Amino acid sequence: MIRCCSFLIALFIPLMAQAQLFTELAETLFDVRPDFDGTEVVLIGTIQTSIARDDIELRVEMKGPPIAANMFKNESVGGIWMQTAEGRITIPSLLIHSHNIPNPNQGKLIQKFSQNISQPIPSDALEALVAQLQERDQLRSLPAGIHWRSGTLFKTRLPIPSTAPMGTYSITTEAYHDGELLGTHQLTFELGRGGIERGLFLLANEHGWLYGILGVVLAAFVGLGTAALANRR
Amino acid sequence: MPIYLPIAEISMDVMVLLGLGALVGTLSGIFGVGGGFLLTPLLIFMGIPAPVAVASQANLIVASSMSGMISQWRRKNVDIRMGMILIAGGLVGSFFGVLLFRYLKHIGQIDFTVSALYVVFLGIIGSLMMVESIRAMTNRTGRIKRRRRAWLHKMPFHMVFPTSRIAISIIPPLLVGAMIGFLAAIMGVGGGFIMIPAMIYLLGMPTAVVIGTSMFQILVLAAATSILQAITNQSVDIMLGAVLMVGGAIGAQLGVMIGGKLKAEQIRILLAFLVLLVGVRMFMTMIETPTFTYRFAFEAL
Repeated sequence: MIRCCSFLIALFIPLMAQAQLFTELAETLFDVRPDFDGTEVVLIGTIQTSIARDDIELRVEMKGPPIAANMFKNESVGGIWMQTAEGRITIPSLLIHSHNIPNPNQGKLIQKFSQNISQPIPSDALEALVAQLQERDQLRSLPAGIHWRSGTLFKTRLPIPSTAPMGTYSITTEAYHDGELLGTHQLTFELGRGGIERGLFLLANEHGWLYGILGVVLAAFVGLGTAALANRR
Repeated sequence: MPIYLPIAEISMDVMVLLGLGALVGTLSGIFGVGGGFLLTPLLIFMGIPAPVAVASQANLIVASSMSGMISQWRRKNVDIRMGMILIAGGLVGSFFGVLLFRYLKHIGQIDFTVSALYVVFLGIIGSLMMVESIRAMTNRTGRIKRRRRAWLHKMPFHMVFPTSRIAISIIPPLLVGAMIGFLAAIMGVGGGFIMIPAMIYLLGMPTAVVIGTSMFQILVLAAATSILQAITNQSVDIMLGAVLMVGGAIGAQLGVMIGGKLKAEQIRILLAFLVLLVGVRMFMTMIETPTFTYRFAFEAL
């Protein structure tokens, strides 16, 4: 009897520790239009587990599409700072961690970011890269960024700066209890150009000559208009 | 109010850009220069990538030189023949300039090259203008003497330019045009600040014809440079150019009103001061010790 109970408890404990995690986005397609000044992704999720919600640590990671980063080393030549090309690496364009705890380990964000760099770089180069991305709000940690709503429902707002590139973004939500992973859920969404922005970008990249002529014609008309106004006076 | 610039791939305040266009337009109206040499560094200071700043403001130069050229045309101050020779040289210079621009962009040295060229040119031109203005203020007559250059007449391929009332070899104007075209492509300037002294002092053209002819040449060259940049480097941002043009048009009218109330010497000394100020500011950015040993330039894959 005791053996039977022990077996059932042993079987049941891991099941209790497992959790079912579901997340959803308020929007899955974001258009960059002329008034674009960054945007915000709203993620709502729920976790089904027997563990009290106050004992659950949630982490939402938003990762941007890969971009190329051309590395330059600053060198002083006769007092003037010149740069020499030191290679090209691929990095995630954006990495944001949102947490439900107020003091998350900041080092994990940098560690995760460096793991996603295509090749190892010197530590002072990594420091510079991190600083540049943090200045552009493309690498950041949001302590207490996830809020519990009613019951097991949670919500977070993930900011996308205007410098973020177009492409597919992934959002991975992870739930932990005492450092052990309870569950994970992944979503993706698209950030793309819309309206006139899309038209101009495509025209500039696919029909450069037509785009160039359009720009010159527009400028010539502005010049003609200004001259006509000045002569009327 | 933000505006997203599709080629620069950043968002900027439209009022700031309009204000910048208006400021440069006002200076352009006061001093009678295109203002490109001021606008490009200011755009770079504001965070616009140097390749986009250089390429996009060629459109602003098209608008301002078209406006000015029409007024000069009505006064019969445009030497079309001389303009065509300058343009022929300019197109060759512009072609090589765009190729060099592309190469420098590829090896990541475009920002440094643009800054270094600005420091050199703004330094030289600002100093020369300052000296000339002080001389003109101390010398009551203040007239600029046009000297006849013997070597101009010894060169082959002579041509008569009736509007300018000169007969010289076409080689010097071709070379001047090529140099301006080259600089227009690399620095994103119209080149008026180099062209005007070169036409007066080197080619011996009358001042009245110089301004109109310079505007005609700059118009064609800026248009060609803009199209070449759009084809070769895809770095022309029409949205940025359009906002700057609107601000520039408003500012230019204001500048003409202010300029009418100032004396010629005062205008020249003010412009010289402004040119030197921008040059010094650019030089400071080149000697300032960077915070980090490394710098990264990001690019879409």
